[in-house]
Amino acid sequence: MCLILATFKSRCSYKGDLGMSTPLGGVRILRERVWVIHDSEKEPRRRQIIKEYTIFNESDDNITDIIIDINEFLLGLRIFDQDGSELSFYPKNFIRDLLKPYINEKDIGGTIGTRSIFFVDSFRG
Amino acid sequence: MAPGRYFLWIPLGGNRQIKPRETRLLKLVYFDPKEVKSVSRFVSLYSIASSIPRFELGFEKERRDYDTFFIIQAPMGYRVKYVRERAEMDNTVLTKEHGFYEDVHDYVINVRIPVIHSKSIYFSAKYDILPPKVEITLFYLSIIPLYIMAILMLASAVGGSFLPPFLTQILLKGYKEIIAGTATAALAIAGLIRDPLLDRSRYYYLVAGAIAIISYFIFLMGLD
Repeated sequence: MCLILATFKSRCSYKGDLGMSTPLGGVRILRERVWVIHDSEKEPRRRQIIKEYTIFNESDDNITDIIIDINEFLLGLRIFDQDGSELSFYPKNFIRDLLKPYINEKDIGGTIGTRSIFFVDSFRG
Repeated sequence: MAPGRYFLWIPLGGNRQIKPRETRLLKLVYFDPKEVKSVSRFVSLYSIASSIPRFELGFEKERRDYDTFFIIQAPMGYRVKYVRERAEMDNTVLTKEHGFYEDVHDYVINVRIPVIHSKSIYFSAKYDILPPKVEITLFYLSIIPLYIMAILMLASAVGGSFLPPFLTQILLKGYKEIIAGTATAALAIAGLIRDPLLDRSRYYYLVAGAIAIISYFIFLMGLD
């Protein structure tokens, strides 16, 4: 799984893989914590995974969107902000349809796979 | 894109945007549906009585510039048995000098996988969730006397000549009460077990109860 932070500007936007050192000129993950929790005494076999990322915005722009590249099915996924509020996210079909006019799906995979920064603009008009 | 690979796009909205120089904690919460394997029942005293689930952790870290922590937490009262299989960086075993460490406690395990620039790190481990010690102790404290009584009653019912005569006399004198007590205790304990990891132990109690009941029928046939 890799995290990509997006800073969308009015015309031109860019994204980069946070796995690299400050690819956006200052946006980075400081820490990743994976909690593997068997919290139920009634069913100790059941395990809940909490992936917790501490993100630091070193750039001069607001981060407006977070895009996460996932390579496995995450059962019952919920995403929470640090104050405990649940965040909504776009489903994959919606993203696919959204990206289709601009970027070839294979290109996206290749671009992220090589950890390079790529540009997308006009997503929001 | 590779099969199974997809994006999650989280719009932060106007009031949740991450401002410059700001840190933010983001949590992804989900269940791991991967099936677990039970530890073989002949491995330890624990696995005889309980079905111990075994889980695997695998991790490959490439060109990241942040630390990764794994925290494994057992349910209250349970314990974790942790075994590291692999912690390597390009065929070099990771040590504390590299910043790799493991804090292993009874109910929580903490593993730190460090940043090593331009190196790939591979980590894998296995862990078992063990039932509370007190429950295993109670299992052995109860099952052993129950089996001894059930087998003694069966032996005395079939007229086992290996029992001392005085013992046979004592057993036959209070046969119905002892049998009823043994069978009731065995079946009641089997019914009262609620710990899912101790499901297997129910069968041991049921067998002890069945031996006691069969002894009783043999005893009755002997009276005829």
